[in-house]
Amino acid sequence: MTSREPRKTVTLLCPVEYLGSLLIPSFSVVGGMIMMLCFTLRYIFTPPFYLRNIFKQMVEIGVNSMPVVLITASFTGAVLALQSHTAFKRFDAETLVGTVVALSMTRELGPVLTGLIVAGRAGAAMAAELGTMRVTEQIDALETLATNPVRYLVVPRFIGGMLMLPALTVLSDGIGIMGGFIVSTRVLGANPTTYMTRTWDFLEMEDIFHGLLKSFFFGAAIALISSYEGFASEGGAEGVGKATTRAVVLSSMAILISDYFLSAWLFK
Amino acid sequence: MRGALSSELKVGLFSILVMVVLSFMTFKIGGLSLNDETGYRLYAWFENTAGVDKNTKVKLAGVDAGRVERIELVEDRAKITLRMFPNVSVRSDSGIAVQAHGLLGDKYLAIYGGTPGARFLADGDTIQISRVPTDYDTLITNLAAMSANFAALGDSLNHSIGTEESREAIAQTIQNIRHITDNLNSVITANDNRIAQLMEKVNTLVDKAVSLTDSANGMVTENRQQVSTAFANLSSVSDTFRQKAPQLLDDLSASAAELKKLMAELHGPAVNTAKELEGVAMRAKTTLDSVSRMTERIDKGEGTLGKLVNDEKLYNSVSGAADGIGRQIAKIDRFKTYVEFKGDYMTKASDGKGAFNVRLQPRDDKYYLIGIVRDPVGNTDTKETVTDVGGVVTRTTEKTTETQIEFTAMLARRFADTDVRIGLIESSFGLGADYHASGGNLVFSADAWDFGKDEADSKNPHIKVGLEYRFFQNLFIDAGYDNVFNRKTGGAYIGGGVRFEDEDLKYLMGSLPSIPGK
Amino acid sequence: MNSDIMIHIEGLSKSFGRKQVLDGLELDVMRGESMVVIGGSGTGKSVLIKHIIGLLKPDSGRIYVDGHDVLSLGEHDLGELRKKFGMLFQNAALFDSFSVWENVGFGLKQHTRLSSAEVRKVASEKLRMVGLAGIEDLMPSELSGGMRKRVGLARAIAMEPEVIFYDEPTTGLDPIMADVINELIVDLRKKLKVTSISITHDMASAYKIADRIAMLYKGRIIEVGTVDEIRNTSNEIVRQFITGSAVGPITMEVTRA
Ligand SMILES: Nc1ncnc2c1ncn2[C@@H]1O[C@H](COP(=O)(O)OP(=O)(O)O)[C@@H](O)[C@H]1O
Ligand SMILES: [Mg+2]
Repeated sequence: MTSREPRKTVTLLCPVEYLGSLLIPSFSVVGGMIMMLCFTLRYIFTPPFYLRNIFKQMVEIGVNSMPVVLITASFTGAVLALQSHTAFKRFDAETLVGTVVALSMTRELGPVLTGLIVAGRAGAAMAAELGTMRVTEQIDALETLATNPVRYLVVPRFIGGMLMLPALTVLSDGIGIMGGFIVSTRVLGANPTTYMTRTWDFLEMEDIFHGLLKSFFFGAAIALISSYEGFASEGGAEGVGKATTRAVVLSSMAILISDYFLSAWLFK
Repeated sequence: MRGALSSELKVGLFSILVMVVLSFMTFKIGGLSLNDETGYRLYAWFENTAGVDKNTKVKLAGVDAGRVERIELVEDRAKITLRMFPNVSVRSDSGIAVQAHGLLGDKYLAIYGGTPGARFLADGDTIQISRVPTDYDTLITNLAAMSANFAALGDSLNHSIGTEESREAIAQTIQNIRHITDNLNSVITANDNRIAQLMEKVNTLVDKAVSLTDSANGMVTENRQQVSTAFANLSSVSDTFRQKAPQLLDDLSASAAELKKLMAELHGPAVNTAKELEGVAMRAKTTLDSVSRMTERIDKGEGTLGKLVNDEKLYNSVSGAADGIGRQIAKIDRFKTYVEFKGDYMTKASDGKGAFNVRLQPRDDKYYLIGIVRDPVGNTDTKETVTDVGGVVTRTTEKTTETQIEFTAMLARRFADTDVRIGLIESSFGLGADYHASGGNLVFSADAWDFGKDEADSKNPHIKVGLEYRFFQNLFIDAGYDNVFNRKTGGAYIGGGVRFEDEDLKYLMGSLPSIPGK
Repeated sequence: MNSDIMIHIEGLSKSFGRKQVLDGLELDVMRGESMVVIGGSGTGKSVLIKHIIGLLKPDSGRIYVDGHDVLSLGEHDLGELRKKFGMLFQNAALFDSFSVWENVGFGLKQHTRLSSAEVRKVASEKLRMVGLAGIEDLMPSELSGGMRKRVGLARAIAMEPEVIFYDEPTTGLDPIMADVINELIVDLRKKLKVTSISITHDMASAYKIADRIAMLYKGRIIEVGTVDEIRNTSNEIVRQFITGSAVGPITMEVTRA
C-alpha cells in the first residue's frame, strides 16, 4: 500500500506506523465493544424482548456446557485435595484440605475455570455463528426485516452468559468440593466428618457469592467479546475463523485479567 | 437443536439443579449464621487480637460456644463482641484467650478457668481476664536475652571465683552450707519418726489452740484444763526429745558450730566476696526476671505452646526446651523454698543468737517455717538434789540456764500484707505475726511464746517485737526488743542475715553449666 | 419534493478503504415504478441498494425514501420504514438456524400478532408463489442455490412491502424458473403497486420487468431511461453493456482491473 511513497519516509515512519497499525485497530475494537455494551445494556431493559432466543442461549451456554464444566471441576477439586494434602501433611494440617478445596473452588477456580471453559466452548460458538451470519449477510437480512440484530442476537447471549456462568459456577463449586471430598476420604483416608465440617465451617456465603459475582462478569465479558468479534468479522470463512480465535483469546484474557481486579475489589 | 426437550424445559431443569446445589451450600454454610440473632452478647478486651476475625469461633471446654460478632478498636485496645449460644453459660471468673488450632490453624477464642460456684455471666457482661498469644519472635528474643543473662552470670561468677582468695572463701562457704544441710538432713532422716510425732503433737496443739480461740468467750475451767493438757503434751514432747535423741542434739551442736563458722566467715574474710556475691545476686535477679517474663508468656500462649508440643516433627527441639522450662517453672511456681541464716546480737545477754530457717511455701498464702535457733538464754533447768545425810534430808534445787539449740516449726497463713504464724517458737508453743510494708522489704514482726514461763527468770510469756529491712534482694538487717515483759532477760537486739530463694540457691550451688573456674 | 418520487438519491459517495465505489451518485425512483439497475460486476450495485435500505452509511450524500431522510432516522423510525421494505439478497442470506417456513415467516412472526400456524400458512402461500411448495420444513442447508434464492424472494415479499429490492433475482436460476420470477415481479408491481429496484445482469429479465433502466458505471448512474430509450441509447458504454460485447470502452477497464 505504501509502495509508491518515498522509501525514506517509509523507513522513518515505519515504527510509528507499525505501532499505529497495531494500536488503532485495538482502540477501535475496544471502542466498538464499549458501544456494543452500551447498546446491549439499553436493549436489555427495553422491548422487544426475545425470550425464545434467551432460552436458546441459556441452553447453549449453560446446559450444553454442563458436562465439560462438571468433569473439569470434579477433577480440579480432586487434584486440589491431592496437592494440598501433600503440602499440609508436612505441617500436620491435613484437616485443612477441605477448607482449601472449598475456598479455592468457590472463590477462584470455580468461576475462572468455568469462565475459561465457556469462553472456549460457547464463546467460540457465538463468534463463529455470528461471524457466519455476518459474512453471509444474515445480520443484514435481520435488519431489513426490521429486527435489530444486537437486540435479537447479542442481548440473548449477554443475558444467557450473565445467568448461566454463575449457575455453572454453583455446580462447579459443588462438584469440585465433592471431587476433593472423594479423593480426600477414599484415597487419602481423611475423616469424612472432619472434612465436611472444615469445609462448611470455614466457607462463608460471601466466598460463594463473590465467586458468583465474578462469574457473572465473566459471563457478560464472554458474551460481549464473542458477539463483538462475530459481528465485526469480515472476509468469509477465514475471517470467521480468525474472529473465533480472537474471541476465545480475548475472552480468556479478559477473564484472567478482570479476575484479578474483581478479586482485589470484592475480597479487598 | 431440535431435541426432544424444548429450550425452556432444559433451562428449567438446569435451573432447578443449580438452585438445589446452591441452597444446599447455603444451608450448610448458613447453619452457623442462622443463629445470628439468638444467644447473648459478652465483651472482652484484648491488647492483641491478631488472627481473630468476625465469626471466629468461641470455644468453652473445647466445644463451640459462640462466635465473634464484632471487633472494634477502642482507644488502643480491641473490644471484641462475642455472640454466645443461648444454652452456653460462662462463669464470671473465666478468662478468655486467643488460641490456635495448630501452628498454622485458625485462631479461636478459648474461654477457660471458670470455677464452680462463680456466678454466670449475663448478656452485656464483660469477661475480665484476657490473654494474648505468644508470638514466636518475642519468645525467641526472650530466649536470646535469657542466654545472654546466663552468659553474663557465668562471667561474673567466673570473675568472682577467679581470684584464689575469693574462690576459697566461696568454696568454704558452700562447703559449710553443704555441711549444715547434710547435718540437717541426717538429723531429719534419723529422727523422721520423731519429727513426725512432733508434728502430730504440734498439729494437735494447733487444733486445740484453734478450738481454744474459737471458744475464747466461753473460756472456762474445762478449757483451761485442755490448755494445761496441751502444755503437758508439749513438755512431754520436749522431754522425749531430750531423752531419746542425744544424737540429734549432738548433730545440732555440730550444725550450730558450722553455722557459727559460717557467720564468722560471712563477717570476716568474705567481706570482699560479699560484694561480689551481691553482683552475682543482681545477675541472678536479672536472669530470674527474664525467666519469669518468659514463663509468663509461655503461660499465656498455652495453646500455641501446646501445639508446639504436638507438632513434634517440626518443633521438637523448641517444644522440648520450652516444655522443660515450663515444667520447671511451673513446679517452682507452685513450691517456693527460702533458706535463711541470721545472727542477732542480744544486748542483755551480750551474746549472739544464731538461727537457720527453711521456709517451705507451697502456696502464696501459706508456708511452713522450720528452723533451729541457738538461744543464749535457754530454758531453766531445775535440778532437785535430794541428799540424805544421816536421816536429814536436804533438798537442793538448782536452777541452770544454758545455751541451747531450740526448734522453730510454724505454720503461717497470709492475709493481705500480714502473715500469721502459729506453732513452735524456740521449742515452745507460740504465735507470731509479720506485717509487710514497702513492697515486702520492711517487715514488722511480733512473736509471743513460752506461755508456760519455762525460760529462765521469766515471769511472763516471751514477747519479741522487731523490724527487718531487706536490701539487695538477699540481705537483710533486723533490730528490735526481745522478751519485752521480762526485765531480767529482756533487751534490744540488732543483727542481720542472708536469705536465699531456692532458685538463687540453685544457681549459686553449681547447677550452672560451663563455668570454667570449676 | 415531488410526492411521486419514492426514492430520491443525491450526491451519494462511498468508499471502502482507498476504493471509491460510489462517487456522487444521483437517482430518482418513482412511486410504483420498477427500476432496474444494471452495471458490471463489482461496480457497487449491491452497495447502492444497501445504502437505500440503511445497511450502509454513505460518506456523503442524501437518501430520501417516501419523503424520509433515511440517514437521520432513529432506530425506531428506521425499523418502521423497513417494515415497508422487502429485500432479496444476492446470496439469499437465509437464516441457517431456521427452517424454510420460519425464514419466510420471520417478519410476520416479529411484527404481527399472527399465530405460528397462521404464519406458516402465509409462508406456504408465498413459497407457492415462487414455485416452492412442500419444502416448508427443510433447513436452508438442504436447499440448492436457486431454491435458496427463491426462498429469499418469498421472505422479501412475505410482509407485502411497498418497496422491494431485488439483488440479482434470477441469477443462478434455470431459464424457465427465471421467467417465473420475472412474471412474479411484474405481477407484484401491477397488482400491489410495488415500487422496486432490481439489480440484474440478465438483460432479458431487465427488459421484461423494468419500467426504467439505470446504468451504474464508475460510481455514477451514467444513463437512465425507459427500456426503449436504453435499447436505442447512443452511449457507447451502455450499448456495449446491453449487447454484451467484449469490445468497447469497458474492455479497457476490465483488462486493466
Ligand atoms: N462491506 C464491504 N467492505 C469492503 N468492501 C466492500 C464491501 N461491500 C462491497 N465492497 C466492495 O465494493 C465493491 C462493490 O461491491 P458490490 O456492490 O457487491 O458489487 P456488485 O455491483 O457486483 O453488487 C466491490 O469491489 C466490493 O469489494
Ligand atoms: Mg452484487
